[in-house]
Amino acid sequence: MNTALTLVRRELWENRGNFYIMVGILFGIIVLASAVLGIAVGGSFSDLYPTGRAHAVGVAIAGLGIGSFIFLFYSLSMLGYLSGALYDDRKDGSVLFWRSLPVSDTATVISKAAMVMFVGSLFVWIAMVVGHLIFLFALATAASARGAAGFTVFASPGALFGTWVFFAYAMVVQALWWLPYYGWILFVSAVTPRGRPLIWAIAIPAVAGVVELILAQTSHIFQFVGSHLAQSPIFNGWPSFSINPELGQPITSLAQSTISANPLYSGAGRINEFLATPSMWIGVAIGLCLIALAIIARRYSATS
Amino acid sequence: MNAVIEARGLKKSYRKTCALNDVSLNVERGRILGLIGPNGAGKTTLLRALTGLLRVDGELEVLGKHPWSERVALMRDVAFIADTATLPKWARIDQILKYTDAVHPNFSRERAENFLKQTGIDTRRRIKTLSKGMKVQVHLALVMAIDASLLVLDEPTLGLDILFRKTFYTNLLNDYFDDNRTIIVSTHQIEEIEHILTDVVFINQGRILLDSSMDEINARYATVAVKRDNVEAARQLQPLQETVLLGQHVFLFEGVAQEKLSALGEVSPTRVADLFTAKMQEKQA
Repeated sequence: MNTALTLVRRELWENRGNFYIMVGILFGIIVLASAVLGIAVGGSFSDLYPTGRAHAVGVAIAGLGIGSFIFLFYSLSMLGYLSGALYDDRKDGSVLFWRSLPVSDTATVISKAAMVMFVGSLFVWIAMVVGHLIFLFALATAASARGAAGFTVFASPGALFGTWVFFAYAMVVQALWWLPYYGWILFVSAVTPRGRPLIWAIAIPAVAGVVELILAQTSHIFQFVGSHLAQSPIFNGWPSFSINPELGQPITSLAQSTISANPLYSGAGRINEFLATPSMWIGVAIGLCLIALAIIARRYSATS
Repeated sequence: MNAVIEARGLKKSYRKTCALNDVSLNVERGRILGLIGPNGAGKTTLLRALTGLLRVDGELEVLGKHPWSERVALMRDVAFIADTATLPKWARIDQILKYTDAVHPNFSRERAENFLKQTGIDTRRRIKTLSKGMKVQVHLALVMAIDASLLVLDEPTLGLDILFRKTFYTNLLNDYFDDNRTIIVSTHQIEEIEHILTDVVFINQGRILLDSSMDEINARYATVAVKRDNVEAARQLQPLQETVLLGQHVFLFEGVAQEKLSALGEVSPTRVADLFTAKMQEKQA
């Protein structure tokens, strides 16, 4: 069997909570919220967004809203996963078992980073698609129960697929954007002697930032960490078309907008901008360096 | 080339303590080597150096490979039990089998499952639900299913009761060992394994005190229960050790001719445990 696939399966076996159960919980919340919203929103989706373009925007906003929500909480779960990824087996001694098998430390560490960047992202994406459908279905059912033509919400499949493709793209860029955080936590997980790696991962830059603030009266550390966190492809990408960027009009008037392009294009444009910033690639470089350091640290993990 | 392990001048220090101090060792194919020493003697350090888990100074080749830089390639031919409790607690046995099967070219899942069937342990159980003895059985089944040239065992039966310990070594000998394989085992319980060993290495404070085959030990050392009248004569022969047990003087001699010894009393083969204590005391004296 393929080794890479096996390494992924191994992680899923060990971290069912972080990967599967978290998705389950988020699904539960979405279903509940969909039901409440479906009942609360009097009219159907199509009543709110009657025409083609605004309709598509509404579908997209619902999908991206759900996707962003899942992504946010899933990311917290991934932080927990990463912080234990190279620490837990050192703590309980099983690192000696894993390293008695012919699997390189490079493959091990990369598999853990890939779990978050690709497997985790894939899970979020699937959850977003399913959650999106559940939400629209709940809304349509509630609207139909009130006599409205609720199921017209599914009338334009292009809007649905477009949203999903857009979100997939946003997630890929997002994974790269947060690579320095992932690398940092993985590195801390590989070197923490005892205690909780996540606390170290947060405390070290926090203390360093405060020290910089006091001694040098500057805040480069806080600015770098903060700006990378405050801007994110997923969260900055999608709101850009809830308000028409050129006309500054609220969404309900988008139907009369003179822009004929698919509204997702403006969002995609915002995400493309991330790829063009030096900050993006400096972050990626830092992330890769930290992962390389984590691999080196892993080699020495059975030393004591 | 028959050398499985070739080590020259291995050195390793942890802060102030010296774990390995100029250790040299040669082990050939088909041997079962017992690595014997007190706690903190450097046994674990040496075994981890052999398996590429630890970087040490000096020249070291295992199966013609450098363990630290070629660990992955080496571990295809080396199986290792580091401790009685290194299997991941969260995992189910069948998951460990699946994983090992996928990453290890020389692992036979069928063989492992057969061994496990004999133990009666359900492979759907999680490691954390197993007793210590069961964990060791599972780990042994796993490594015995690896077609390895070298098996390294670091205190594999520590904390197990005597029945488990006996079965462990019996299984190892009957179902695993042959002339093409080499086993290195470190242990405290010398008495239980000395009959299966072909070679013995004593180690203390990072230094090798004795490196000898069992045949050499039997030829070179002898234990004599000396008759009361011959005690003084026995002392003249510079015994390694003299113990008095229930009024009986027992001497341990090194390199004394058999005829001389039989004149003193009843000669018997030297037990490794006695030789070990004698060597340790000699060192301290």
